[in-house]
Amino acid sequence: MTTIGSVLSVRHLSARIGTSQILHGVDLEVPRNQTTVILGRNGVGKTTLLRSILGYVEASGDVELLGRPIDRLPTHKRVRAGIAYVPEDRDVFRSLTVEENLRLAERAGQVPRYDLVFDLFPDLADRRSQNAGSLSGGQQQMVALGRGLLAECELLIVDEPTKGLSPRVVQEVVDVLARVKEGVTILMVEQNLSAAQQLADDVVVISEGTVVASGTGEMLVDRDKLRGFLGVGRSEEV
Amino acid sequence: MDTFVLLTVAGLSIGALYYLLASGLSIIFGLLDVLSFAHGALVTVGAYAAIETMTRLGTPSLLGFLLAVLAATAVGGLVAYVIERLLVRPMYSRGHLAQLLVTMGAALIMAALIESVKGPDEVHMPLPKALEKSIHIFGAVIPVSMALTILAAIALHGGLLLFLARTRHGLIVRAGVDNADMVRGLGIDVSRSFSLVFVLGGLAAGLGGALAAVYVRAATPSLGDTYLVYAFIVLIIGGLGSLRGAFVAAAIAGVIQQFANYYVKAGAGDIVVLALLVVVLLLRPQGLFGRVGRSV
Ligand SMILES: Nc1ncnc2c1ncn2[C@@H]1O[C@H](COP(=O)(O)OP(=O)(O)OP(=O)(O)O)[C@@H](O)[C@H]1O
Ligand SMILES: [Mg+2]
Repeated sequence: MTTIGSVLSVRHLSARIGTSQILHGVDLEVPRNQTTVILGRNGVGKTTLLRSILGYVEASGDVELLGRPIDRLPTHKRVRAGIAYVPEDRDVFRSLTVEENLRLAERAGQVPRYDLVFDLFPDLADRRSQNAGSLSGGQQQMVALGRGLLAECELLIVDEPTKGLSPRVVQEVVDVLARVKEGVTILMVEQNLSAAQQLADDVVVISEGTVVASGTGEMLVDRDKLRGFLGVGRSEEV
Repeated sequence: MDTFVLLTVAGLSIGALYYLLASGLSIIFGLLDVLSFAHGALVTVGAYAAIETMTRLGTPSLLGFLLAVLAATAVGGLVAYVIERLLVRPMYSRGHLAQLLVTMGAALIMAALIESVKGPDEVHMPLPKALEKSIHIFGAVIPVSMALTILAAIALHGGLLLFLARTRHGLIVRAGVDNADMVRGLGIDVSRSFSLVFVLGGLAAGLGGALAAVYVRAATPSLGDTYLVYAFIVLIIGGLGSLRGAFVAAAIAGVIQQFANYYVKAGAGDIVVLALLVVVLLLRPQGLFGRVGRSV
């Protein structure tokens, strides 16, 4: 049963990598037109959760997109069912040009949204013929986001888009995502609390491979309580 | 002078045969990260398909030869397709040793099948008159068959570069070499590209088989083995995964092999090519055109 208004429903999702169990029965609902931010300390399994939803990691449990089970599908079919994926560390095709990176995201039977992408990232238009590997981290993040947004999608999954970027570029990425979230449902991992606060409608906290707290974006205001959920001490940075 | 030209052309035509095999292995390795030991047997299969076609057609003609080449190419591609689907695909996540064993097993099975049907002895390749002729270049007498083999390799190389640079499938292959998982993450079925690349390699190997049969005027069940060894040497000299590297290295290996065989003594060519391999590995382990990362 899908909760009304959920774009993505995840139930009892468990995943292992090699011999270690990384996820222990994760339940997650991503409401339509909302931005859901996943928080959690390093190594608790946030990326593994996203990768399990996409079918990269072998997992048990139910995953439904718009009420349709996708957990038996291979990755490329899950994506075609309506997911756009912007991975941790961007994963642009380094030996390909910016234009080729974007062109790969074109889908048969769809008009590619180059207008949208170049409107969000005017910089990319000027760098079309540059090798993606030669771009700065921030520019590569733009390519990865542009590549994700080129085809229409029901759900945009983004893994730590601000990771490793300078504060100024972090804010650029956040501003872009703030515009993007008006038009699409987003599920993202974000460790930068200020960025998370600007974008989150809903928050899900993961610890030890399971959901330990969830609520609205308000949760991010009471940092002490949040630290409690995350399982870190008061003095520690989150 | 004419000996020099003839040796060069003969070397280039041997190199062309190496390239017909190495090109497929190169792209397959680049995208799939698989070293296919089955591809030598595809040369053998192609050679037998060409001979069978020529023999059945009766009096050798140019048209018949064309059909034989087409048959060899098609059979190479078809067998490659079957091997990929049945044997290699389940092994993608199993690592190099499993792939090596499975593709070697496929090669042994194919050789055994050919031997059980056609026998262990040489089978003669009938040639049309036109291919027995020679042309004159710079005072040297060059067999038409050699010129044809060289042209085939050049055409294949050009075609592959165009395919990679200009087509969507080529783009997917290049992206897949970089990061196949991310290609899947864009909604693209990479496994179709895996099949495609394997089949392309099979087509080239089958074509190579027909031309190898022309070169030696015959085939045996182990015909492809030598070519496979040299194709791997050429791949490593040129740089694993580099198509241009394989092209240049194949030419170099073929030519120095011929020169050494002629000027030093028959058989010296093999040693010289191996020596070149060792020198390249010592001075430039990534190969002539290899980069430290992977690319096509
Ligand atoms: N390929 C792998 N092989 C073995 N263990 C892995 C692999 N990938 C992840 N892990 C382990 O799984 C656990 C969860 O990793 P995951 O990347 O999902 O965490 P994360 O919450 O995204 O961390 P981060 O904040 O560092 O991105 C970690 O303990 C990690 O060491
Ligand atoms: Mg992560």
